[in-house]
Amino acid sequence: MLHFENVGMRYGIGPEILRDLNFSLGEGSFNFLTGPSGAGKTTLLKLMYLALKPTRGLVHLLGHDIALTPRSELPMIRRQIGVVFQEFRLIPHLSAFDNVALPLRISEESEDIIEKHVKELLVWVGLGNQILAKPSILSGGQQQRVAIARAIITKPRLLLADEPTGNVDDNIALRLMHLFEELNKTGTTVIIATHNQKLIEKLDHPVMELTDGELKILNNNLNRS
Amino acid sequence: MKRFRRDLPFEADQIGRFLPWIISFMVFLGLLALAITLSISETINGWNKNMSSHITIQVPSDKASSDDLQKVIRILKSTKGIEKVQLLDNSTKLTLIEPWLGKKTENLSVLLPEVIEVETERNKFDNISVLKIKLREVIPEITIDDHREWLMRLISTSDKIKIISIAILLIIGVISVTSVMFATKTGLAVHTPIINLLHLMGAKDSYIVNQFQLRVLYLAIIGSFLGSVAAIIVLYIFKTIAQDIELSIYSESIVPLNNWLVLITVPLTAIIISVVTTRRVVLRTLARIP
Ligand SMILES: Nc1ncnc2c1ncn2[C@@H]1O[C@H](COP(=O)(O)OP(=O)(O)OP(=O)(O)O)[C@@H](O)[C@H]1O
Ligand SMILES: [Mg+2]
Repeated sequence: MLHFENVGMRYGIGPEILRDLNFSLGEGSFNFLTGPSGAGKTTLLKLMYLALKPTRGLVHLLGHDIALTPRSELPMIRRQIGVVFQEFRLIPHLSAFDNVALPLRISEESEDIIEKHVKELLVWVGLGNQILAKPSILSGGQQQRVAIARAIITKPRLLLADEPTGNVDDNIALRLMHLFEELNKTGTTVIIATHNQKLIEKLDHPVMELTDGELKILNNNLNRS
Repeated sequence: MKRFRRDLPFEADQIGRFLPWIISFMVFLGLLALAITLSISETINGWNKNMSSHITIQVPSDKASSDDLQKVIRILKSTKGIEKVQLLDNSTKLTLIEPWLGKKTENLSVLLPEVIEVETERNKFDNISVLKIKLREVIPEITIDDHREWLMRLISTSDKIKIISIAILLIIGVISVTSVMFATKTGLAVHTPIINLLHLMGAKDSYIVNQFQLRVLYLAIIGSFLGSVAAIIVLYIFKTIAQDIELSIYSESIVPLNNWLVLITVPLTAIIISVVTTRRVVLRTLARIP
């Protein structure tokens, strides 16, 4: 599903942010990604959602060697990836409904289906009363839930979330985690970047730890014992 | 029918504010330049048809024996490209000078030169100087009026005007392309974050391009319409003035509004240029995102 081989990444002529990443993630796995601020978590996720190309190494994603995939086929791969951005990236002039509907419209779903699914999901994340609200009048936590809803509306094969619980209290954070676990049960591979150590400890999932540009994969159980 | 989608906040950019005006101004100028060129070339074509085929030859009556005259006529008839040769009789000549000398001119007829009217086949006859030499060998005092000469000068002037207006049209085209490019680039800069987002969600280039294209199409139609209306009004005013003062060049063919099939190419071109330019700018910008 996801396979990195000797991947290195630097911005321009700066230092190498990520060095020699070698790992594979199985289809349907649920993973945390952690590490100190500035360690390169967002950068690694960007490589996964194809916003960046690695400066070296091989990225295999959803059955494609990305370096060898023609540009015209990338949209179809991107549509199978849901992303919750660290800074949400909601479109300010669109309502919560239209923001969440966006991925479906890009995939040219019919408006009937969009209407039904988007409303359902917004109710499910607790925004049933804010369906037509613009992002600017929503709280940080509500915006975050819109961003999450937008990432999962297409039932993606791969879900990448960058600090998805940064703006909500522990209770809601836990609820959102359960939402991701539900999605994971239906087959979606999940990667969640977070600083929240409590959350990682509460849930029993493998942890990818980034330090000094290098990655270690820890089994959560072993880590705790 | 798919609903017209707009994910981009177009109100946020300045394109909508100035693109229609640029386009309407360009269409206005383009239409005027084209209309004026058309009317000039039509007028001159008209003259050309009437006159280029005529040559008038005169021989002072005391200098020409009828033998020589017959010889001249024979030479003319055997010249390639000459269709008709007619020696005018006295009464015809008298009617020709009537406007100047009045009716009682019968006794003048002896003094009148011999006049030969020659009709040439259009565009096939062009060795006038050779003919002149040949005829002067027979009668040195012969005069040959070739209307074609000054007509040629006129035509070459009108060709210059045509070249100038084509240059004007080209300049207008270049300015339009540049301003549409500038407008689209500015617009893209404002919308970059959302374009990147749509791209990351798996939007194909066409999904994004179409939104820009539809918008510019709409703006260009508005602009072209305004520019065309303004140009038509101005041309009608020209026409009325020209008719009032009976300006012969203008009276019939200026404001060749009956040439609307040609004229409509101006707004159409403006619209096509706008849409194609937008498309290219947006696609080129998108191609830079991996
Ligand atoms: N566009 C960029 N150009 C240059 N350097 C960058 C860019 N984006 C990130 N970096 C640098 O790369 C390093 C890793 O950044 P990144 O955002 O991946 O860290 P992070 O682990 O996500 O941090 P945080 O936990 O604070 O979100 C940082 O040193 C940052 O300065
Ligand atoms: Mg980050």
